Amino acid sequence: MKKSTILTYNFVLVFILLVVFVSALIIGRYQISLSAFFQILKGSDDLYPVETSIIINLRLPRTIIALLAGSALSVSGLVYQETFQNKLVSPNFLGVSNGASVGAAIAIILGLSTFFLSVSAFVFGIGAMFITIFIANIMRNNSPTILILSGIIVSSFMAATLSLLKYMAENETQLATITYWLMGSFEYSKISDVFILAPIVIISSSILFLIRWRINIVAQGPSEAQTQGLNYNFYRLVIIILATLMTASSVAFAGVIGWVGLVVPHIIRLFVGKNTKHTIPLVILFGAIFMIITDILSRSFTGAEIPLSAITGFLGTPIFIFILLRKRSIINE
Amino acid sequence: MKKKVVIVGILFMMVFVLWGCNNVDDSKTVTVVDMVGDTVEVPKSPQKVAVIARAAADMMIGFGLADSVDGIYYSVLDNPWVEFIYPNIDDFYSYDYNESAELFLSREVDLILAPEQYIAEGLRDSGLNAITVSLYGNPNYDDYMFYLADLINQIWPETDNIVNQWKTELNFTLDEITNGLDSEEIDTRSIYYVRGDKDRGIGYTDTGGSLLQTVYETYFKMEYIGSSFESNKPSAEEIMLRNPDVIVIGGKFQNKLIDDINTLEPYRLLSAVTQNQVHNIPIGFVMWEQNSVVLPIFISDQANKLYPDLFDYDISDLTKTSFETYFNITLTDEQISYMLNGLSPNGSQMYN
Repeated sequence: MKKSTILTYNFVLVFILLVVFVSALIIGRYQISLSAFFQILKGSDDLYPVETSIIINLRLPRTIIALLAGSALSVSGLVYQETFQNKLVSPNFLGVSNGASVGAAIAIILGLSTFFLSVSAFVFGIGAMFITIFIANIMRNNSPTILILSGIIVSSFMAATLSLLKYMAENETQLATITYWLMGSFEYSKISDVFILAPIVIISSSILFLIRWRINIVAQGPSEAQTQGLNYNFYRLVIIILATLMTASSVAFAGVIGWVGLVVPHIIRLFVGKNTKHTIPLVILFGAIFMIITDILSRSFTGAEIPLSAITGFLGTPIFIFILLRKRSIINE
Repeated sequence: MKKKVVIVGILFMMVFVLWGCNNVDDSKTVTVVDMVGDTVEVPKSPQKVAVIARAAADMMIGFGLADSVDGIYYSVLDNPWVEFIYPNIDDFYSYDYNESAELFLSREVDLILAPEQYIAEGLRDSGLNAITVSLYGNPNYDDYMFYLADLINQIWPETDNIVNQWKTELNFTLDEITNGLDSEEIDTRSIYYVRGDKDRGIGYTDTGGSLLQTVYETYFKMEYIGSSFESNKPSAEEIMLRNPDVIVIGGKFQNKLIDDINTLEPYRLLSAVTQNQVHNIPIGFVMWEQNSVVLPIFISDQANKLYPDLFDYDISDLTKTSFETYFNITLTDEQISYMLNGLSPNGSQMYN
């Protein structure tokens, strides 16, 4: 694919991201006129105190978190799929999401604050990933399939633990909170969350972008990597840790959001192929756009917010069917 | 011929005996229609009742039926006022929301007051006596203001005097409010209720069908905005969009939530906050915003807060009298002040 075409795609997505980001600040349940918005931008915020507060305190933090989480989940999905040579892998496969869910459920049952809920979700998400790698190492087999199987084992164990925790949770309060958290939401996003999530996502994505050539080689399997003189195990571990850091931190701040990490990489591959040199920046941009639009939909049509997973599910299902129809080969890849 | 007369005589005797037996059964049971419209035959004056429906706990004690209560829903018992008002709280079994039929069978309960229809139906399928006593009316609470008291009176006829006294008090209060407001030109103000029994922030309320909707809409001539929400968790933007004229906050987290709404962005910009129209709802044996023996005082308290120019009830005095009447306890002025301000019996915050 021509370099100019790739550049065009990048510029188009950057432009769309800017438009969507600004739209997210204007669109919502509380109507803010364009003139009011531009007056606020010009500094006349004292004329619109309520609108200014809604933009700054409600919409801006959640839109930035949506941008970061969408990018993080999408790029994690992409590098997982490449590393495991399996195009049906998503960030949930190594047990990260279920592990983070267990951490969050424990925090909710213990009555911990939102901050410690995020910490607990993050720690359990990372912990699940390390258990997955540990189990795969016990097998003494470095094939991607073994790692995926280990992930399924850990994921299932975490799902069982989560069921037990839900059973133990207090019906009227904790269970509802756990259930709502598991469906994903940016409702309680704060600007302080941005300062924690942003460095993790920016640094991890940047490193992945810098080693994009090596990801291409890792994606060809251990034999090919060794032929090309690449330390396969080292780079695979680096990729998995970075992707897991991003997934766990996103889940910690926004709950479990399905489909994004699976569908977004496929959409980008439809346009530019599977070269991670091209796909990583496009997936970051498109993931951010997809998630911001999802957030706008979740909070604009009803008085109560629609869970993110419900919307990504409704959007993701037809998109994935379309992708399967267009590229049936991914089933066998 | 003689043989036929004997046979007819025996038949008459059998019919008489069966009719008599039937009469004996009638005196031991009573047929009630529960809050979801199910017609259920339950034992009359049962002596071992599981009160899972928190809507009924306070009235059972207040109407002198504590000895008939086997256990109460644990969330009701998790309130320091309950032990203060009724010190023998340890006599009650602490029930979970959806207990198994086997537990009720093993505890040999006579009747279960269940909070939801599916729970009551499931228990009835297991051969237990169960009726639904919901916090919500169907389609609204207008016809249910006296329902719970009447239901208790129907099942326990011995509560006749105390139930009638309570109904008289409630009727009197409602008449006074209605007459007081009917004689005035009143602008319809909107009101938003923050449900503070759980710490779920400002965006947690009751939707339509609640006692509050009836109290605020039917009696106080206000627009209860919760009834127009499709969920009891409206978003912050939705609350800002509705911008209610008045906000009432109840439950054990009320003081935390009142502090939140006065300080947090963007809530502190709501008209109700800037106009000092954020009011609390007292909490005693139960939250006053649910149907209970203090319902007449709750309505009087809200009348004072919502229409200070029209009503001036002595809530402290009414509270003192009510608790002496129904719970046989004399509250000090300090304790009443704590109760009216949503604090625990020793003056601490209830959520600590």
